[in-house]
Amino acid sequence: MRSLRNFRWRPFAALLALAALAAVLVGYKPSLSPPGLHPRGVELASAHAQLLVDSSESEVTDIQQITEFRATLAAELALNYTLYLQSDTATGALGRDIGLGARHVVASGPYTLLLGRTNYAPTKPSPPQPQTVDHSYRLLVDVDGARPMIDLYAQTPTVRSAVALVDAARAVLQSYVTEQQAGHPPAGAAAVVLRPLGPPIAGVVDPGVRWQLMLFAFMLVLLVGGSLLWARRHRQGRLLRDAAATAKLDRLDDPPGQEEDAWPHTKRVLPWGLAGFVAMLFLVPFDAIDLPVHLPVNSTLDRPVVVALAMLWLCSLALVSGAARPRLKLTPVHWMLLAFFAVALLSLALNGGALASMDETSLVVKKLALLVSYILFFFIVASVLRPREVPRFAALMVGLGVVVALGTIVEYRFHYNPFYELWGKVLPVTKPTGFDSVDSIGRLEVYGPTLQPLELAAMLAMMLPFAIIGALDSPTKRRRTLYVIAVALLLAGGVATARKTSLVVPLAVAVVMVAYRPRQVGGLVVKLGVVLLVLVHFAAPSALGSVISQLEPGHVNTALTTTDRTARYDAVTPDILRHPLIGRGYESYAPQKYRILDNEYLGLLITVGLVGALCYLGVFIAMLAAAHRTIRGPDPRRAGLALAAFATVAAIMIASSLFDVLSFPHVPYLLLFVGAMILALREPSPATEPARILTVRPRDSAGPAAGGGLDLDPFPLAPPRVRTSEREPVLTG
Amino acid sequence: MTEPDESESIELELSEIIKTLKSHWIATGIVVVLAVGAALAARLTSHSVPTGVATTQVLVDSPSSELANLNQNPTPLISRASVFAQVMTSSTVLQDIAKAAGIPASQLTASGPYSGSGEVLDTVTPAEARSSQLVGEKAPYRLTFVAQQNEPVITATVQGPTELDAANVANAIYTGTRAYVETAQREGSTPSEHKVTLRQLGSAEAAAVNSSSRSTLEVAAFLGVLVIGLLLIIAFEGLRRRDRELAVVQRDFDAELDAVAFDPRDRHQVATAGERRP
Repeated sequence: MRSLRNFRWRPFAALLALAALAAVLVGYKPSLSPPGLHPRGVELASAHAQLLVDSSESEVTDIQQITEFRATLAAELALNYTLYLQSDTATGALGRDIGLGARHVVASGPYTLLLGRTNYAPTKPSPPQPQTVDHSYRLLVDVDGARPMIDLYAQTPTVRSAVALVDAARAVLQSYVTEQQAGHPPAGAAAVVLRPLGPPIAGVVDPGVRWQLMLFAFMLVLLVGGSLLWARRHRQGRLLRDAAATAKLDRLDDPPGQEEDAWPHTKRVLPWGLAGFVAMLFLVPFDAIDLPVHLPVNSTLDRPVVVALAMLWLCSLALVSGAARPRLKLTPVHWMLLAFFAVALLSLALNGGALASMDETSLVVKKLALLVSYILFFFIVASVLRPREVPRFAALMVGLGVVVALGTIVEYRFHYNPFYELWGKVLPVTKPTGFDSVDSIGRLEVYGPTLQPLELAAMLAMMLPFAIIGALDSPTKRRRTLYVIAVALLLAGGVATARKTSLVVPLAVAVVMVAYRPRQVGGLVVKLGVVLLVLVHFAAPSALGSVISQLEPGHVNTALTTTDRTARYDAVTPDILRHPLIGRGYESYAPQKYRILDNEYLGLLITVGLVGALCYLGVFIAMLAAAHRTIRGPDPRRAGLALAAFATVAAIMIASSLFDVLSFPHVPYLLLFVGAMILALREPSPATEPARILTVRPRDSAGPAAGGGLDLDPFPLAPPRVRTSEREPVLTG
Repeated sequence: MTEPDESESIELELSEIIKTLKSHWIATGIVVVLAVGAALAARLTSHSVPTGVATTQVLVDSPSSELANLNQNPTPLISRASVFAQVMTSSTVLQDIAKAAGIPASQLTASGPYSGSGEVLDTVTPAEARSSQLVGEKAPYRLTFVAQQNEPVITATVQGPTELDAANVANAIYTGTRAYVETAQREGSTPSEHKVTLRQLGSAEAAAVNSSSRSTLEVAAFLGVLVIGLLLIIAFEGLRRRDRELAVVQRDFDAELDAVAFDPRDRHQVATAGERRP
């Protein structure tokens, strides 16, 4: 009752009203003339019908009618008819027929013959269209060029109008053909007959989408608004608490009070296992190695290694005590990962029937197994890693990144991939299909140890922030110089992939780092920019120019890699609206079967819906928030490393819009490793942490007070409590 | 000021999580029951998972069989088979197939024709055509037609709820398509010697598939609900603890502030609430 009385109803009521308003605005569009709320065009209906281009004596029924020549001719006629249906006359007539008045419908196609791909030729400026087009009413006409069959697809706001549109299209075509035949009567049985093959098959694509979107908007506003209200209410308390927590952290450059026991000077097996795993991520094309063992899911090299690490970790949790025991502490990053996993499971459970009928269940199960590997790996690293190990692992990763960059440059210059070639001698490595070839726009496919050049570019960009921080914060000039060389090599390795990502992501990294340390990072860029460019140019000649030319204003919008990406936004709309909240099944949108998206967010919207995509974003936000606090902390060493990790996470957040990150395991594993480093940096070193030292005490010991265990005096848990009346008065003002 | 207790935070250690779940055993129990319920619901609704598949082959032939006549040129028949495979996906033929199988036409959806096992027509499908595919996504019977490249033969594959159902529809493909062709021939008064003749090459062969899909869905539903439920309990408890902890921190700070904001000797207020030190 008391808590109810203390509850602040007014802001809560205002928040509820705001959430309701947001929900209404998502579903309906307010207007003054005419006054009222009008439904937004989020609902889609579809209809499909077919027309056979035939003769009066049907070729389907009469054995004598068809000849190869005639079949080809009919197929060509079918193509002509599809083009006619896209003319202004036809689209205008269709608009009139379905009640749009003077507005035209949108007509396109055929897509099977790929005639709609205008991006092979430069686009010419076109005069503004005199007619008004209603983009909600769309007709797609398709032929395959080999068969005399026309497919008509309509997409409109209602089933009725969709059916009306395909019916009208058939009628318009029929009347056009009849008109032509009346003007130029064909001889004998040569007259074309268009045979409608049954009524249109129609239905609603996204039943209930409006309410689902409104519910999502309502809950989202409630959640975000509630969090902001809560944060505002406890602002001061949080600041005090964070300050107290930060004050407890030891400085990484200071010598530890006790024996350090940090990797590589440790006998703990797990950190060594993690170092081995990281080395595998950089040096082994593990995703291309299928072990000759039968596992229920994929048997790529990373799976047994993760399983082995997990076994070791579980044994450590069960058997080891004291400071050496992994410390499993669930943070918001853990929460978001688990929530993402749960949504992925529910997306499978809710759409299981449809997925099974399309033979996609096994794909989802495989992808879920990979997700479990990622999450398990993160749990292990986050519980094992110690703050003083973070700089060493960062140095290890930069070193390994440089090795990968060198290998990439060798591959770019000499067409020799050391990773695939050398590992291929000892393990069954399957080379990617585009190995040592050029892509559709003439770029050499450079793979390094990965399965995709984009993945390689992202992986190298991820190590860049750590190299930059090394170049800024290292104590000796020699080390700083080595890190500058590392920066140059990582950049050169990236541009050797000839992907736009290799410049876009490092640029984002630089912007993030400059935002936090404008003088230092900006100064480094200004001082060493030219040197870096020269080094990059010499390491990977002409690669930099190739990437820059792709990013030039005239090219960036017209390159196939860009236009194909933007074309997908429209094409996948029905898939997103079909299951807007939970999606169609985690990672079930197979690129080989449906469409290559090159955008993780888009893929997640389709496969795990808005809720899953939000959880995915939540993982990044939780990592960034955790890093931000450390960056603002008092220890410059921790702050520097946290900034590098922050930039890395931000880089992958951006890279997620450029390729399907979760499908290429190198990047997610590394991202989660960096995420765990961020969490480790927020912890005190075990050597300086009384709570953990306490657990070292032998079981039979009575503790320091009785002359046993460890003396905790150097590590006061909390300042002594002083009564208010005993405190010294302080003058203010 | 009270030092925040490590345990009173949203960041919980494993032992604390177990304690939290134990202390909220009723809520934990409800979550487990809900998870079991979700698994059962998944089992009950798993009838939509097709577990049967059947295939049948139809020969597009002439009244005097191509297979028995040396003078017959098979090329026009091969071209015709390809057209037929596409005509068979149309709603008019699907209606005849559904009628022959004794099921509503709305339960059928068809795709194809594919001119070979490797060729997929639905790559880079635009939004309008994809919408049409999505409308048919939940149909219990999925029919696929493949026209063989060098023979006038169409191979039809049917996925259905059970092996028997799939076989029933697969056999109905021949019956339904033949009915459609015969109707068209009657309407067009096609001479009997010119009539296209369809022949089924043996009755449909059926088999069971997706045997593990149902249990996969049950496990996914159980784990999904369980993880979300437990996360909600732990998150709620974590937030409650943190709320309490921050309130204590704030109260202690305010008390300390009050103590330093007043001169204890003459009780004159020397700082107002608005001048609190940072």
